[in-house]
Amino acid sequence: MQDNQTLESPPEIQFAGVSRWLKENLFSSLSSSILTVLSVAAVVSVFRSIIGFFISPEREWTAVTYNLQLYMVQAYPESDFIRVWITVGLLIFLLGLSWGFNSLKEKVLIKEWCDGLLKGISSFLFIVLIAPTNVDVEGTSVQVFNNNTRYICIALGIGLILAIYLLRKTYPKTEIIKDRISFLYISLLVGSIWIIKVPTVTFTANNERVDPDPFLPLANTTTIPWTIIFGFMIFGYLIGSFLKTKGKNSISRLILSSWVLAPLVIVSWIYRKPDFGMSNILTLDLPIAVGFSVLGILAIRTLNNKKIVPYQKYVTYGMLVLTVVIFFLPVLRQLKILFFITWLLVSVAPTIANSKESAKNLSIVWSVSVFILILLMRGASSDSLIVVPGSSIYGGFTLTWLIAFFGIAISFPFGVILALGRTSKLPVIRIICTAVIELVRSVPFITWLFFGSVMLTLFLPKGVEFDEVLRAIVVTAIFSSAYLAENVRGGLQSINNGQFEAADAVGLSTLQRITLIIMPQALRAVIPPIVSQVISLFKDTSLVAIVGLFDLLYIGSKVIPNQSQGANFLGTIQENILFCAIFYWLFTYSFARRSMKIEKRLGLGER
Amino acid sequence: MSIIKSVDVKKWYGDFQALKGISMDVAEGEVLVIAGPSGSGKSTFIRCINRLEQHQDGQIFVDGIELTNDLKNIEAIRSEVGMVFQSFNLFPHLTVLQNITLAPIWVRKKSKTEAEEKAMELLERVGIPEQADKFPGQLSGGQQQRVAIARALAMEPKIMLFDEPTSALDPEMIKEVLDVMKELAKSGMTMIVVTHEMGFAKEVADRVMLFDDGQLVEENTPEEFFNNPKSDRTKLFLSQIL
Repeated sequence: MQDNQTLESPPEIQFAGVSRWLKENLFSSLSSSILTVLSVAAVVSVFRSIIGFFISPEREWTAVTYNLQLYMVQAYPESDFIRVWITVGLLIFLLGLSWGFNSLKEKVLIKEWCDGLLKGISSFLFIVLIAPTNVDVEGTSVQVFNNNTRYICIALGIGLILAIYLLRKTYPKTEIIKDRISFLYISLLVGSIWIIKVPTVTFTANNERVDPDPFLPLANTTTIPWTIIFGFMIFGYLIGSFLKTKGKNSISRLILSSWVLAPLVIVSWIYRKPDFGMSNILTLDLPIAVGFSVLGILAIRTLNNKKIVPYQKYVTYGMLVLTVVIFFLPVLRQLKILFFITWLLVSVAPTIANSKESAKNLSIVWSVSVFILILLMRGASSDSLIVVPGSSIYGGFTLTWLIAFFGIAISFPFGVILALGRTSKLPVIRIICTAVIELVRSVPFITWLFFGSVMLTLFLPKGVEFDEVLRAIVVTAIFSSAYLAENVRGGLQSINNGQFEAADAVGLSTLQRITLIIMPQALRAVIPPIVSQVISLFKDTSLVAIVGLFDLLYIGSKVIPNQSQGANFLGTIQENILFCAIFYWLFTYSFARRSMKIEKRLGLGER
Repeated sequence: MSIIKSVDVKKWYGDFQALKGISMDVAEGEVLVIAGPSGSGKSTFIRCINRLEQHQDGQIFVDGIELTNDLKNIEAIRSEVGMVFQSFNLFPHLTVLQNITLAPIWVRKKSKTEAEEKAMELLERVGIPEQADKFPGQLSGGQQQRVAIARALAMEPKIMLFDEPTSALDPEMIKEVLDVMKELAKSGMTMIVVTHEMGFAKEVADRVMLFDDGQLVEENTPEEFFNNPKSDRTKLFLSQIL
């Protein structure tokens, strides 16, 4: 290298001016000019009619705003709403925590942020400009958008554009952390629920409908919890950022396991309000927990004793036989499950805990998980104190969320196992896994839901009954794991044979090869189809309505349009379906965006 | 005392016989170069030595242990035998450092810090310590192959197998890999190298073998092999390659 060599930078692309841009991109020839004019006309007229549809006086949007509670939790009793808020708060706190912990604190130029804002405001201006003044209501033209409002909106938009333009000019090189922008947006949203008024109706004691001044502020019971939860989110973010500076692997594992644990705690303890009985916990659960954690620690200690090592196999087999025997004995269900996981421990302990350090870690993990598991099982097996006449305590968006989350969470390990089984060299395992996948895939989801709801009880031993929601979750999980297995198998096939050989050549065992080398690469390769699958599963939860569960879409399409007592929202199906569509879109779209970012981040190592 | 011994090893792919009875042995600290035209079975043979391929007849002993279907034996042998592939086969989702420390941590049960120290030492030895935190995809072919050598060495193997380590490299990068291999040979490592680099064979090999059509055609010292070959097949091979 020569010292006097100067580094050349690429020439900056100059913006050539609006008229030139228009000419090059929209009016380059006669045909393209015609095409431009036609498509602009089409876009404007479509948008006009859509906006007209939304703001027409015919639309009864109060059907949505009045019933938001029904949409979210269906008939969950109002006296126990604190449990719902705790659920939401816990999840959003965790969200903030993971956000703070995983954030790369990326920065963005104020200039670029302003460009984004300008796009948003231009769309707003576009909508204001083309919004129809009058709409047709049963033959007569009714004014829905007067010109004064339009001028005020346009003035506001132009003012904002000027302000942003000034901001852009004053700080051309300054950068800002992206997270702060996100917090600004969220705080604006939370602030707006204190100010904003929504169209709604109220009812007198005699159930007569009153249309107050069409807009009312949101009730305190909504605004206060959301504001507190927003505080929790910031708190979680700050804790997460602080923990990140410590930068330990164990913390990231802890956050991950709290994501696994939180939904379980929610369904077993928070949402159900279990009638657990303190005496049960003290006299039954605690002794069992202590017993099993001591048993597990002893097993970890002795199995790695040099004298025992040759007999490890027999201990595992003995434990398996014991587990099977216990399973058929009439003992507490807790004991059956605990014996099963003790067998798992005994079979993996020799390979995992072969040094003093790892044996100590495994003992701690074992004891903690035994205690947590016992408490979770106590919560789940106790009777619920929440009474919802005629349906499950889960309904509306809660049900949608519940089925989607657990369906995906359960189907993941099963899908991976099925995929590995289908590519296995052992014919028995391969045939069984192939048969399961093909059978599950070739029958419609609705059929499986019926099967779970009507016929599953015929196959189970007498006296074993599952909740309708649990059955729907199990069916969803099985159905989705078959599809997931095929996606994962696609990923497995994309992996070069050399990777298997290299893993073998450095002496990794089969299990290590799969978990450390093959699976991380295979899953990375199939993120896009897995994301599509998760999205479609989230939407497919609406099918559970067919077995009598009240999910979000069922409430929107059947329950509210048939309300006639008190609130009369008969026939408001268009508004409700539209609301449901937007609601689903919000979640699936933000999920898709998020996963795109994850994909980018994970793709770093490949090239 | 021979560290690798093979007796009449035969191997078929379907009806095609790839190895037609190979008998040979390698002494500890010896550098053996195997040459031969493509399809002659030389790669198949060294892949049999750490059981990436299974031989169907005959016996192979590595460090006194016979290679059978017993998984314990296979894993024990694989951790004693390092292997370097033609196409590197680094793990693309792990950094260079993670690639090297993976097996020591999971197979040898070393602590992370210990494994990382050793890995940095090895990277120093192959001349690319500054690349430790990059991903394999960000390195050149020669650098990747040197990482692959470091990865194999991290297991502290008694034997190193090289399966055409320079065939996928640009001419300029071949030298940097060969230099590492020469240094390794001088340090007394037992090596079996399948290669077309006859310069390397002349300079560092203790013995050179020629494979053809699944058979061991000639086995000789490098001087004799290149200057005074015994068989006509060797003469033909040398006339084509030199």
